[in-house]
Amino acid sequence: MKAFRGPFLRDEAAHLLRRAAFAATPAAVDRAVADGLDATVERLLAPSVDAAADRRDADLRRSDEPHAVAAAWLARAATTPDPLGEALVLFWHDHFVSALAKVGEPRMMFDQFALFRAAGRGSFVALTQAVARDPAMVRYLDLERTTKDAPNENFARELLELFTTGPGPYGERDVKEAARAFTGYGLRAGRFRFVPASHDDGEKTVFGVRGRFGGDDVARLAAERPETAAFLARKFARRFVADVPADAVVAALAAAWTAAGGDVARTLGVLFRSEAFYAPAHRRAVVRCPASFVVGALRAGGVAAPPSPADLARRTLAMGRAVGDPPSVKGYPGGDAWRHPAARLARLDFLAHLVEVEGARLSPPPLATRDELAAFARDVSGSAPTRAELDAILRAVKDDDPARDRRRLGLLFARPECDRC
Amino acid sequence: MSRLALALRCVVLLLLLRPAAAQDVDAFDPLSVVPEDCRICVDVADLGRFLTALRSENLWAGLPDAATAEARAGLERLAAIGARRVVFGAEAGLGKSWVLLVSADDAERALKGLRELVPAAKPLRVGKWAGLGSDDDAVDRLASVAAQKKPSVLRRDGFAAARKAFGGGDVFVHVDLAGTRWLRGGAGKAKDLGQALLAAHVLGAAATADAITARVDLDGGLRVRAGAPMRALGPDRAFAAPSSRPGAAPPIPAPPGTSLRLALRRDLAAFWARRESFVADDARTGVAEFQNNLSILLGGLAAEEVFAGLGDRFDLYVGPPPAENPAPRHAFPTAAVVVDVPDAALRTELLLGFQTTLGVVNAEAAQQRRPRYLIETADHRGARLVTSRFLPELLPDADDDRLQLRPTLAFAGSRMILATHPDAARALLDAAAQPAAPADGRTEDRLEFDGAAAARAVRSAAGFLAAQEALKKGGAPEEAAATIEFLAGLVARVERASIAFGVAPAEKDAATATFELDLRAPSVLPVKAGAPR
Repeated sequence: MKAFRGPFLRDEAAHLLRRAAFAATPAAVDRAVADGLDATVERLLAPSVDAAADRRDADLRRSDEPHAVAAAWLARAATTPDPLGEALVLFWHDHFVSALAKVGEPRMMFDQFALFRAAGRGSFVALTQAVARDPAMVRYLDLERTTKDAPNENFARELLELFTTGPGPYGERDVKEAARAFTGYGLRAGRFRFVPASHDDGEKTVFGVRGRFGGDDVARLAAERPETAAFLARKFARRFVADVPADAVVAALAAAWTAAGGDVARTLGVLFRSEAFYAPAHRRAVVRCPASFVVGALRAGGVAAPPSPADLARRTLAMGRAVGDPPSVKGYPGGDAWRHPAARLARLDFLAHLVEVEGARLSPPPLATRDELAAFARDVSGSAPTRAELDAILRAVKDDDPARDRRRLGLLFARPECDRC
Repeated sequence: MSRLALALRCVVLLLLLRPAAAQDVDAFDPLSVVPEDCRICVDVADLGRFLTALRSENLWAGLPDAATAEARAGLERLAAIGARRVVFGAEAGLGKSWVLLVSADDAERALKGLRELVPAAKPLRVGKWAGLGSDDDAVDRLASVAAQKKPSVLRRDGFAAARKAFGGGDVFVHVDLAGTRWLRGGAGKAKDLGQALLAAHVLGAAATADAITARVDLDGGLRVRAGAPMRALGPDRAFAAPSSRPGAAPPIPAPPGTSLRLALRRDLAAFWARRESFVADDARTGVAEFQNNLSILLGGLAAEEVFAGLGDRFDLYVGPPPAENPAPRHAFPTAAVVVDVPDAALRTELLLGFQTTLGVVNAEAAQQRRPRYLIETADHRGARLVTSRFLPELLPDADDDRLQLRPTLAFAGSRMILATHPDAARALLDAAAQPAAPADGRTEDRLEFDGAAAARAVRSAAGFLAAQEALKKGGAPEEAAATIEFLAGLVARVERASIAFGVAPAEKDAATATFELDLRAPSVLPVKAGAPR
């Protein structure tokens, strides 16, 4: 991709942080501008440990509460020092879809999220192979019930259609042959186990390549296909560039993907330094999903410890998204599908609750003057309010209001412009 | 009121009361001048002793000032004016007509103090007693009672008997509830199977009791005993007030480490025979399924046969977590239910039924590819334990919570022990082997609580509780952990507590509900620095 040559100023830094880190607080933007583009991108891409969240997850993982998965992720994402890591967890959860409704055990979804956290910015081949062995995925796509006498095609079909190449480069025979490669996969005691006796060890032909393939082999074949580069590039572009990315951007990103050998962090490093990423047409071109909206508001508000995670999960669900429990293997359509009247009302209701009930947990920057309001709005939304809007906010929340800053934050975030990032 | 008018009023009252009590303050019964229409009567026998006990309670000192400041200040000021015994009567509440009487060595000083305490009230003297009335009418009515022109509360139906039963403590309280009957009409009519089984007697008392009398003692804790005459439970609720069956095995003493014990007395045979009267229409299918499943699991026995073979005492014990616990911070208390089964044939069916039930559970788990129970037997003190457990190698985590659930059945003589873990069953068998305590003769429902044991249980499950806290309240894990530790510390300060509720038949259509709270908690809350003692 063509590298970004322009100056990395406040707007560019805020744009990068909104996309890659859920929110751009003034302090974070200041630091990014001071550090420069390369250092900021490297810092975003570097994984970091969130020990407090790990301890909380260790307890919550044992919970039988269905919303524990969503609650734990929202709580972690709201305060993590590694926001891109959590953005990638959500990205891979949307890509390698599993749903609690079928998986049944929250523990398995916790473990799958942990897998995405640990391996989500490395090799796509390795990630795909690991996902095929992930207990939640094994259960969700019926690898528990696949034997050489009766290969279950569910996983193999979705591997090709939804996880790697997308429709096109394979036929029904490829699906059947790939399914044979995953025979013998299954679970015992809730853990992955491979039973050689149930595995079809014979020769298979997948994508025209012949061999005595096992599951890892087929995962690699699929993950390394050029169509996969284009398919994944479009998905990354939809998440990080625009809801409807131009084909040229997708092609360039696919080339970067291929050049990086399917390494996620290296590909994102190229993307975040690219001219396309900062193109004016791509500013505020992505609709925030409910989870990103909730986390974005919390992080913009400077939350130090998350408010009731169970409540956050319920409110995110009211906006139309069940983290950990999507409605189908295709996940959510995204884009403008998030923006319907009921979801809008739910977003406003969440903001009112956050500001008025959980406001004590917020520590927004001072929002006393019109200039401070405008600068903050520009950082968090990429869009400067009109003078009339600013005056309306100043009138609605008086200067001597003891909850002035958080209430003004709520009104700023309630602008429809903040539905996008 | 002018000084002259006050003097005249006091003289009149003194003359009226002279024959009865004016000579000896201790011989005079102050309740004898409290008008009968006072629905609330409170008699504090020794205000000094009462306040001393209150001041030594950290609970009193630790409560938020706003909650107790007014009451505390009032009592302290009463003591400061030399009040010893305090009697209060009110028509229906503090906003209505009321009278207050205090005995003091210096009645004149007490009267002066009372006037300063409630300037708007009307002062009065009754012999050596000083007092206040809410208004002139209240004072006049007290005078009429003193002159025996109107009856006192002592003439009220059942008052004397209630006072005999509940008097003599630090505080005597009597509340006439007859006027509130219309508010409580439906309290005993719930058509809910679970509610009827567990609370039929409570609902019955709540619906029909016209008065409640209580005695409060503050000697080393808080002890409240209360009684209320009520209408006898109807035949469809009589199962909630059973008499102890002759020949029944005595209850097993609580093993060491028991944090909670609940004893319920129910005649399940009578309950089952009358089920139609409290099963809601939408619950009938469930009851029919239960009846059918029970018969399948217990070798074809009808539900009537099963319940007829059970005793009428059900004891629930909540004990410490399993000794071999693989999940620190996630260790859950064990629990066991003990019921006497006098019918030997039924004991055999229950033993087999336990195995059948686990078999059914296993079959269903196998279909769903979930872990199944391994069923084993063991001996302890000559009793056979049928136990079950998940094999660790079949669970995903070495400290999986399910390892703590090991349903167990055992018999201690005729008493069936159904426990969540063999540790609990063995502890009960050990306790049952101790020399039997004499029968306590109790027939009421009773809850006993050991604070230290409960605090250990809370701390053992701190990880689980912290997760629930973190999920619901948010914040950092450390905040949740601190909340759990505060809760454990609070619980630990309750040395022991018990609550009992029973209904004893009195006459044909009458019964008496009894309630007893015994809280031994010298320091429920830590005293805040600078808090009044």
